Amino acid sequence: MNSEYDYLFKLLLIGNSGVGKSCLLLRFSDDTYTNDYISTIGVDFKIKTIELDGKTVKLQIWDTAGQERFRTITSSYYRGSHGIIIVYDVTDQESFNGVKMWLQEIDRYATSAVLKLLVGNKCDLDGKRMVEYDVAKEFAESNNMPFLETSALDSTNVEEAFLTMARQIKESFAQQKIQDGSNANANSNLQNDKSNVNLNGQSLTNATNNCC
Amino acid sequence: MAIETLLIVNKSGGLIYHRNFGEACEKRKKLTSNDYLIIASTLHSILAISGQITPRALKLNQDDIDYTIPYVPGVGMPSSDSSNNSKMSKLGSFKGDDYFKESFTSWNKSGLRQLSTDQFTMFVYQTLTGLKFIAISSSVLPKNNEMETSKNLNLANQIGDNFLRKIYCIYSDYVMKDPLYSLEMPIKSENFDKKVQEMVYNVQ
Repeated sequence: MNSEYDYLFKLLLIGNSGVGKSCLLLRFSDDTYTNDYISTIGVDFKIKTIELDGKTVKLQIWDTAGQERFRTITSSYYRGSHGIIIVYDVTDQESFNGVKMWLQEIDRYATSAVLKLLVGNKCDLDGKRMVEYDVAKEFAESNNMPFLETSALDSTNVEEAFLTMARQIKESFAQQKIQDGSNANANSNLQNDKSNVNLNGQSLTNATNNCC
Repeated sequence: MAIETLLIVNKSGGLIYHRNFGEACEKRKKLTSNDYLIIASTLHSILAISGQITPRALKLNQDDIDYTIPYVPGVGMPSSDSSNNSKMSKLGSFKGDDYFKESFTSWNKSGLRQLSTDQFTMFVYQTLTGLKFIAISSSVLPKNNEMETSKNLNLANQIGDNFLRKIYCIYSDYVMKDPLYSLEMPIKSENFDKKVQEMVYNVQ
């Protein structure tokens, strides 16, 4: 009943409103597609169970609302997430420009060790393309994150996007265990170069309390 | 008040433990494990949102508010004459028959603490580190006696908090000290399971 899965990973989908986060997720979890645009309210959850190295892993994907007015409790969504997928629309330059802002949000709210992935959605609409593949690829490399172009409509790369992430998380988990073990044995603090605390970030309370 | 369901939600909103007890096993059979994951994460979000709708005036005067929860003796403990199993129950670090014997402070200062309907009552106990223990019990709302309602709810709330704090004690003993447990992941400890079950059946 309770023990039917070994790991529970929290993935977060962020990006501007209307770039296709929910559609991408719908394609991955239910393998369906809808043309209707229904704005996500607050947050939506989808869960997919996969097998990795003989372990049952549940990927719980938190599909956040892109619209500004729903961004009230963002920090509790970022908290403890294992992977964050930033989505933009290849036919919308504005949504690609927004990626920088989303990266700042990640710096502010998530741990620095979190895995990131940049996804350019709607790559089936090649005629209307505004963001070139090479530009995005370069941007992703300069920010140390992998990059993929997907299409929720014809399901290009959708599985890959999520599974790559899951595999990376699983690996980093295994690595962490080994590190923990060796740290305890050798009593050394050699791994400290990857700090979890970001001292440069702005105060959380000031940033979120702009409501009366 | 019978505990029907127990959920433990980690600080990032993931469900790490869930059990149904007694009749609830049959009643909630149709819910899949994915449904429970969604329930847990939704509750996590609601808790965060309800923390934000707490009136500002209340937050400013927080020093004046008493968050102490009185100790209710014997919640979830076997009745006093059955002392033959006491050897086992004293193995943990919380020695003594009742885990703790003093009143304590609730860290859940602005979030949701209790939800009552005619069908069920839900109690939420939040630790300082953001771990949430959630118990769903049979309804504590008395039928056709409105005078009693608030008094009843208050007492039920205290019992709920005392019960969940004891579950937290068991968690500290049997989950946190398990060398094979990876943090924030589903709990699979049989000992923890057993202890929780004992406590739940003693509440009924």
